Amino acid sequence: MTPRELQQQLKALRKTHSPINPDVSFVAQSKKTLLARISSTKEHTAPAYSLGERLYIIGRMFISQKTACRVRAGSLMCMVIITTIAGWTVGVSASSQSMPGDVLYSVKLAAEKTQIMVASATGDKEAETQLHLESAKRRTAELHQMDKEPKKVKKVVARLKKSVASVGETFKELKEQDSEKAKYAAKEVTQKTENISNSLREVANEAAKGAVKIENTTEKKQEELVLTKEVVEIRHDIDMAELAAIAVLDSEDAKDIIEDKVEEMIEDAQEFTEALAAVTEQATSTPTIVVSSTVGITEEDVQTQEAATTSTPINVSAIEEESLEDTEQEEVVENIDESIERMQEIAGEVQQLLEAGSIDEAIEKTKDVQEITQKTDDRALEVQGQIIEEEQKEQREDAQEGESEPVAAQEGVEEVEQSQENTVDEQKVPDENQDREHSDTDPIEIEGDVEPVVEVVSLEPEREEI
Amino acid sequence: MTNKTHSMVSEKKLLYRVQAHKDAEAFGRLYDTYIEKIYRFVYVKLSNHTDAEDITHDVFLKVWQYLTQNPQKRIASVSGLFYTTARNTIVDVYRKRAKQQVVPIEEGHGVPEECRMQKIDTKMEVETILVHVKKLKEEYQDIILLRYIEGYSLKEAAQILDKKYTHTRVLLHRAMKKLQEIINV
Repeated sequence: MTPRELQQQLKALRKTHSPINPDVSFVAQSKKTLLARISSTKEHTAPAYSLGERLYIIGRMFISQKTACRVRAGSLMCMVIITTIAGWTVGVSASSQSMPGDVLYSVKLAAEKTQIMVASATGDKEAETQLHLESAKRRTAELHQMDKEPKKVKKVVARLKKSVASVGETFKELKEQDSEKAKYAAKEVTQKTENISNSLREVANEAAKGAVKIENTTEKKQEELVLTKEVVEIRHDIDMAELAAIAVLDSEDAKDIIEDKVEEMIEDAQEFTEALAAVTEQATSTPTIVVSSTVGITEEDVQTQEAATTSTPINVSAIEEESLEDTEQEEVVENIDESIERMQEIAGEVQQLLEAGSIDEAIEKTKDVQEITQKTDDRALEVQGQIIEEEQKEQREDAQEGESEPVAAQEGVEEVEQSQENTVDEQKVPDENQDREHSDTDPIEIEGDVEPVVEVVSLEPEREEI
Repeated sequence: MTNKTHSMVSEKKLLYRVQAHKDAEAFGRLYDTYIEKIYRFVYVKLSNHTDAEDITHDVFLKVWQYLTQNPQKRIASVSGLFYTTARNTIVDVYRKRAKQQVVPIEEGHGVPEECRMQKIDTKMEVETILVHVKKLKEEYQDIILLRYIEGYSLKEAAQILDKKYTHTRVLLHRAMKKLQEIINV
């Protein structure tokens, strides 16, 4: 039998009156019985469904299980994604105000990193530069506001340094990639770098004040000095990044900005000269000097410093006499004075170049000014460091002396006692001598329990025995 | 709209009426559609008219109860529901019979399905081809019944048997091959 014939025979089974088909009577009877039974068990009132429920039932009937599962899985995924994004957004926005050491601070950093990574992946150097600038701005604000715990400060400073370096690098790449875009971005970069530079100046000022504060311990002073050094260094980097951005600008815009910058530098220098003069006057009586054109020490600071100095005359005199040598101080002051003069000279040259329209040369000269400023700052901070070191050394010596003092004091006591004893002996000896003298001369004056020997001298002549 | 789609939509409507409104009339129409199919399905397995009639009746009653007690339940296929209920009811009958013969359940399970079917077959008078069909494995019987006797498409048969389309196709091919072998012996 062929397969086709077999199929034909099987199909024919349904059509014939074979025992495979039910009796017509059974079909009718069964239906009657079934409906009767259903009617008897059926509730009189059909359940009332709302329109929504009816739609749901109809929907379930016409939508297959697979489709329903897919829709459910899809909607679940959407919900998860939405919840994750919403949670992340809420977390990031909540973390934006967090400070180093806070729980959400790592979220803040992670969000920043993610943004930078995305910008980097898309190759948008302009956005990347802006993001690095934003990071640098945030780190500067954090440095300004946070608790100055050395570990935390160190981390924030390291991150700031990295951000500032990245600003310079990405802007350079942007310039190479698309000069037009770089020109467009340069204005904003200049503005932002200047803001960051000003904020860093405030941070450096604050730290520098901390480094000369008499109330601070030498360790604290050291920490503040380290922070000052690092912030000053970062400020130089950001200034260099600013100059790089200025170089891309149109000549007119660049001219205005450089003019402002030069003016600012001259003002800084003048302010600094005045402060320096005040410091020089007090050089002999002041234990510490902070000299920095970048830090921008003011007369007020010097006065505060003087006031603090006079409030602790003993320390000042000690440090003045022993830690700070007048010659070294004078040398530093002279060097700085020379640097200021040189800076002013170059500033004048920059202005001349700008008037002549040589923007590039003016920028190069401005860079020279920056270099000199950096050197001056380094030298001043170095001397400050030496002073603090000497102060530390002094304190250590004092402490050592303090430790050896009790022994010396004891020795002194013994000496005193010894001398007292000696004195007593010395006093006794003449007494004894005196006693001896007395005994020689006046045997009646005998001290102690010794019975006085009374020599009775008989005036009568001795009887001679017969 | 094709005939198949039309009948499917009308079936869904009837199903909705039964589930949502416990409509006996709607269920009566479903009865008319499926009574012969379910009877044939049961008869092929039991080969006894009385038993087939009783079981068919039970199947419809169970379906009614299931639908009215689960108005929110998704029913993917009405035919699938009837055939599944029929298959389960037949299994229940097998179990009952096994108990009546005081055969332990474990032993009953151990007896091959073919042997049991053969015992039932010998009692009944059927047409030659049907005798041969009954010699097949149960799943071969099902697919041959659904595809060639009832005239369902492979896709519908797969849905009723709750198997994948490709598996059902393979199953049908093997069933036909086996039937041919039996007939040709």
